[in-house]
Amino acid sequence: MDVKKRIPTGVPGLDKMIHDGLIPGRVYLVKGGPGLGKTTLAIQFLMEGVRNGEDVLYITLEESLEMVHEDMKSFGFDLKNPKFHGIDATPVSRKTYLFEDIHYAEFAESLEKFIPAVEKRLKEYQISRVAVDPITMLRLTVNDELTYRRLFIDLIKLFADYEATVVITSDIGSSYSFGIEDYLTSGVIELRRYDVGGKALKGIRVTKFRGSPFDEDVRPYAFTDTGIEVYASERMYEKSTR
Amino acid sequence: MEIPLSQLGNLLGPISEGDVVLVETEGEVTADFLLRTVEENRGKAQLLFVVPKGAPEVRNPLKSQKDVQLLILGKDIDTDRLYELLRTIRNLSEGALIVTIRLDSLFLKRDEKSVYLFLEDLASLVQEKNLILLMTIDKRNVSSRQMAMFENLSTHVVDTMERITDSRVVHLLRVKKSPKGSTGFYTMNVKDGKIILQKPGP
Repeated sequence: MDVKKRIPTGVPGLDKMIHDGLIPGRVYLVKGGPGLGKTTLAIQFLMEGVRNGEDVLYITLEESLEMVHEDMKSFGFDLKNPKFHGIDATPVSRKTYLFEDIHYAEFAESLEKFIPAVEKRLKEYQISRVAVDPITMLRLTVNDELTYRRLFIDLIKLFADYEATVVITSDIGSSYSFGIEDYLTSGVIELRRYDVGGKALKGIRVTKFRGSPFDEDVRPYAFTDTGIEVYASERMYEKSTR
Repeated sequence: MEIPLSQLGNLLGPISEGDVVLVETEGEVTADFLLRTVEENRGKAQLLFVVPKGAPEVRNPLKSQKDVQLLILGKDIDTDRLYELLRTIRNLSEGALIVTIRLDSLFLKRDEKSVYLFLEDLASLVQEKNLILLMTIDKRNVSSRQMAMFENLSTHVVDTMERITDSRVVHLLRVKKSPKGSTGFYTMNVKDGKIILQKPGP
């Protein structure tokens, strides 16, 4: 029996679905299409750590850190908090931290710098929570599947070495249903749109959660003033999904 | 708990917390019936009325009532987001009375399976939270199969109908389902919100 204390995600409804939170030291995948709240969920997870006095690390690979900071203000999340450490690894950012002066085309070539830079942060600040948002960017950048797999496995190992609890986000693309991320992570949380009477509703589903029972039903969720709220006791009342 | 079906007390038996009372109508839900429901329960229990959009004769009398939480389906609660209604109900205090008017309107927006799953959760919640649910259904809007969904989840079912006899409209009522058993038809008149029943003449 796992007696480790669970890690609250910052979304009480989601915690209820996974029986009180994430298992510490593990890596979880949050999948979803655009606009469904992957980044919000990742930031909410990190800010919960900040609230508990933990040092947390956010690695953004698509939107600039500044843009995420601006967006998250509307939920009351202050990414300028000294406990919140950001790595802006966006290839098109002017202020790329890891890949300064490297253009988009050169992004793949600079990946070898990625893991050491992440490790530096993990070590320096004793990071307990990490969010990588989104991993899709790495997948798209690395042409060679084997290289990507190696990179992903190295990342997982690195996080395990530092016992960080990690949320990795991923866009659900049409090119693949299950990627290596689905298999190598301890849990998979899907954010999806559901068509109900011509309206799009948002639903969240846990499809995998190693080491613990979990709620397998789709639950509705909504964006509120304080981030994502999951209605863990309610149902979507819709049979088909998109 | 008192509801304006109190004249039916002998027929229905006691209505307890956790019960679902279904009233099958042929259209009309009178304003004085609703007001009487409010009046008889004011201060005794939390009151939630759920009424359909576009039914001012139902909505307007309740609007100015204190101590009444009024939700308009299609306005305050989107019929696509039925979980929001359940969430509201989940937060009611124990013993609260929920009155839903013409819940059959859901079939216009949602498929049967969705409505049934919703009703099942609603009835379970009423039991779990010790609430009382009074539902009215316009039976002209539902099929017998759909009506069966409502009836199967109800503790008490009251069936009302209109008949024309000698150019007069006669309202009839019977208890279709109840722990105490069913009854034959009675003639019914509603006056000041009270239901007055008489056994039909020979």
